[in-house]
Amino acid sequence: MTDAHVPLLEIEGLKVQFSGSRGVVKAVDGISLTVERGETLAILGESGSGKSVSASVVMNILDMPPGRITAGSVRFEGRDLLKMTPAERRKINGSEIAIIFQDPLAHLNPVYSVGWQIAEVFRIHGRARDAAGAMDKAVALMERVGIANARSRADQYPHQFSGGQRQRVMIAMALALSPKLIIADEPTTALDVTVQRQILDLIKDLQREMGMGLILITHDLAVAGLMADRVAIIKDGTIVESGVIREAFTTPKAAYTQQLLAAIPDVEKSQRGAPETELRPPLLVARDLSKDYHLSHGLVRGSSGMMRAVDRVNFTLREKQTLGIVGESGSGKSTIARLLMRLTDPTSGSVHFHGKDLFSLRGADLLAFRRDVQMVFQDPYGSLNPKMSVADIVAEPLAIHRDILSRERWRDRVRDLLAMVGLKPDHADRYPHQFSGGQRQRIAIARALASQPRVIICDEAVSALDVSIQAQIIALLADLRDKLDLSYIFITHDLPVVRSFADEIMVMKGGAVVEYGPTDDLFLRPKDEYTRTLLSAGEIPVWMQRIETVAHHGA
Amino acid sequence: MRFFKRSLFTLLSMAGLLLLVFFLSRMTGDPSYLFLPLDASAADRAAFSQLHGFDDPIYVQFGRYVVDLLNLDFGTSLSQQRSAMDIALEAFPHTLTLVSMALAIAFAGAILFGSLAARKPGGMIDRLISILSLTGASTPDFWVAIILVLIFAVSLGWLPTSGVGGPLYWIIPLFVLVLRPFGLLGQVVRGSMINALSSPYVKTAYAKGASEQKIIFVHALRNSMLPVITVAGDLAANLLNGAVIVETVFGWPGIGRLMIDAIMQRDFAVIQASILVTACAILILNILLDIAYVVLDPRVRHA
Repeated sequence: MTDAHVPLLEIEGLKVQFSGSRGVVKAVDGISLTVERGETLAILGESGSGKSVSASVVMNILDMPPGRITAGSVRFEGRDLLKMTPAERRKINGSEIAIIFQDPLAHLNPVYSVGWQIAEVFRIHGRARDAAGAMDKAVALMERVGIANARSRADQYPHQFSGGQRQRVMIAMALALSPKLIIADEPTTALDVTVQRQILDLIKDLQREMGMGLILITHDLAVAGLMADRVAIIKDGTIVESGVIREAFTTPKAAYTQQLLAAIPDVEKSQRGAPETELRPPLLVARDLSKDYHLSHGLVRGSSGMMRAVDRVNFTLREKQTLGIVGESGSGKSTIARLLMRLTDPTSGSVHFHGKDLFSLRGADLLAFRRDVQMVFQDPYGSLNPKMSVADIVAEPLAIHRDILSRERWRDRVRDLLAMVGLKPDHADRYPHQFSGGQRQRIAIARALASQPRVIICDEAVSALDVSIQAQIIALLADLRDKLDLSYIFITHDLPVVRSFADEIMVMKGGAVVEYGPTDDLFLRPKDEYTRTLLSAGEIPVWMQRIETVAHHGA
Repeated sequence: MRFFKRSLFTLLSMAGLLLLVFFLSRMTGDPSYLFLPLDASAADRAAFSQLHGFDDPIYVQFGRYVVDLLNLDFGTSLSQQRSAMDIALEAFPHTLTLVSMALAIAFAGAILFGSLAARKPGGMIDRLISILSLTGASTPDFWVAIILVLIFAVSLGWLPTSGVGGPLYWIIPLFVLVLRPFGLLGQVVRGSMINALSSPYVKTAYAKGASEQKIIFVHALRNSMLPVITVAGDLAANLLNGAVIVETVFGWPGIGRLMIDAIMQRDFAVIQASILVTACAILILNILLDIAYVVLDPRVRHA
C-alpha cells in the first residue's frame, strides 16, 4: 500500500449527460485524468466542450436535474467524491478543494460585504474562534491578494470593486483554508487584458507558495502555455490529446490540437489590405472628436459631473483599409462606434465621410449615409432577432432602403449574400437558434453587406467566438474587403487578433488616443508605456512562438 | 433627491385625495335628514344647516375646511359631538394591530413555505404548496369569513361570532385577513427564491461548503426579498383599506368600520379624519418600505 501512488485527483471514465426538451446531450463522454500535488493541469477546449461541466462535478455543483452523472468516479486523495454523504462532501468544499469562477461580479453575493463573504469560509469550517476572528483573517487574506486598504475595503460590497479586484476577492475566498486543489474556471476571461496577466501571476505565485494542485480551465492557448505543466485538450466531451504541455503543443498528435495551434494569430501571415507604401484616398476623417456624458448622482441636478468618454480623437480611415481601435473597457472605443453610426451626437469635433460633414446630414442624405456604413456587433446571439428567419434578417437593409433592389430579387440576393459569407443558400429559411456562434456572426456580416456598404464597423465582432472560429471570421472579412472594396473599423480589446488584419492601429485609454500608427510600427516599436503593457499582456510565451511558426509553415 | 421627489408626490396625491373625499361625501345628501327627526320642519333643517355651516356655498365650506386643517382642527363629529380626529385615532390602533399581526403571519408563512417550495421546483412539496397558496390567493375573504363563522361560531360554538375580547376573538378575523396575502406572497417568494437559488453566487456558496439552510436563508433569501417587499407593501396598504369588510363582518371597532358608519350617517368630519389617518399610515408605510430597500440592498444605498 505504501508504494502505491495515490494522485491528488483522479477522474476515471466520467460521463455526464443533460436531458432537455431536445433530447439527451452527452456533455462529458468518458473523461479520465489525474492531477498531482503542486502541479498545474490545463483543461483546454472551446465552449460546449464539457470542460466546465467536469469542473462542476468535481466541485459537486452540477445542476441535477437536468444534469446526470451516468458513469465514472472522481477520487480525491483516494476517496471517491461521488460516493460520499452530503455532509462529508460539504466538509471538503472550500477547505480542501476550492474554485475560482469566470465572472466574479455574478459569483459574489451582491448584498453582503466582501469581508463577510471571505470570512464565511472560516466560519463554515469552524476555523475561527468568533466572527471578529474570521473577519481579521479575511482582511489578512485581502492584503495577501493585493487589495490596498483591506481593513476598510472589507466592509464594502462587490459592486464597489473593479473587475480585477473582484477576482482577487474570489481568489482570497478560494485560498482561505489553503486547499490542496484549486480549480480556476476561465479565471481571466471576463477581465481586461492588462489585468489578466496580474491575476494569472497572482494565482501562480500563491500556488507555488502553498503547493496546491491547480486545474486551469481555459479556451486560451496562450494562458495554458503560460501556466500549465500538463494539458488535456477536450472536444465534444472527450479528451483528444493529453500530456506534458510542451510536448503536446510542439508535436501535436490529434488533428484538433493542430487546428487549435494554427488558429493562433500568425505574426508573419498578413491579411492586410493595401501595402503600407500606397496611400489610398481618405474615406472617413475624424477631427478633434469629443463626447461628454452627464453623470447625475448629485442631490441637485446642476452639481452633476461630466464624463469625457471620447477626448479629441483624430483618425483617418482610407479606402480598402482596416483601422483597428484597441482599448480596454471604458476606453471610449464603443462610443466612437456610436458616433460614427450617428447613434449619438458629439460634444465637439467633426467627422467627414467622402468630404461631407457627417453630423450635419439630414433626411435623405442621412439615409444614404446609413447605407454606406454598416455595423457588426459583438454578441451574435443578441444582435439577431430570434423570431425572424435568416432571409428576413439579411434582407432587412433592403426593406429599409427600398431603392436598392426590387422585392422580387431579394431572395436571390439573400442567397448570394449567404454564399458570400460561407453559408449555404438553403440556410435562408432557418432561424438564428439553429446556428452556432460563428455561423450567426456570418449571418450578421451578410446583413451588413446587403446594402452594399463602403465601411463596416466591427465592434468586438469576434470577441465572443472561440479561437478557431475567430480566425475563420477574420479571414472572411479580409477576403470580403478585397472582393468588395470595403473598409473596416475593427474595434477590439485584443491586440493579437488585429495584428495580421489591421493596416493601422489606434490604441485608446480613458477616451484619449495614446498611440496611433501603422500596425508593424506599433507592434515592433511601441512608443507608449500603455501600448507596451497591452502588448506584453497579450503575448504568447516565447516557447510557444517557435512552435506556432512551425505549425503554420508545416500546414 | 429620489426621496424628496417621492415625498412631494405623496403629499400632492394626499391633497388630491382630501379634495375628492370632501366633495364626494357632500354629494351623498343632506345630513339633516339623518340627524333630525323625520317630521322636522323646513325651518328646523335650515337652522341645523346654518349651525354646521352646510348652508354656505360649497367652496366656502372647503376654504373653511382647509384653514381649519392648517390649524390642525379636523372638525367635530355630528353624531358624537366631539373631535373627529379623536374618534379616528381611537379606532385606528384596533385596525393597526389586526393588520400588522395578519401581515406578520402571512409574511413569515410565505417565506417559510415559498422557500420550501423553491428548493425543488416541480417537486411534491412545491406542488402541494402551490395549490395551497393559489387557493389562498383566490378565495374571496367575505365568503371565508361567513363560512368560518357558520362552522366555528354558530355550529360548533367554539369561537365568538364577533366583537373584541380575549385571544379567541382574534382567531377568525386574523385567519380571514391572512389568507390572501399569504397566498400571494407565497407565490412571489417562491418565484424570486427559485431565481436566487439558480444564481451564480449560490454556486459559490455551495463551493465554499455552506449548508443548504445557510444557502437558502442567508444567501438566497436576502436577495429574493426585494420583490417580496414591494408586493408586501402593496398588500399592507390593501389590508388597511380592506379591513373595512372584516371589521364590519366581525364588529371590530377599527377605522374601517368607523368609516362605513360615518358614511352611512353622513358624518363628514369623521369620514375626512379617518381617511386622513389611513392615508398618513400608508405614507409612513411607504417610507418604511424605502428604508427596508436601503437596508436590504447595498446597491440601492450607493446608487
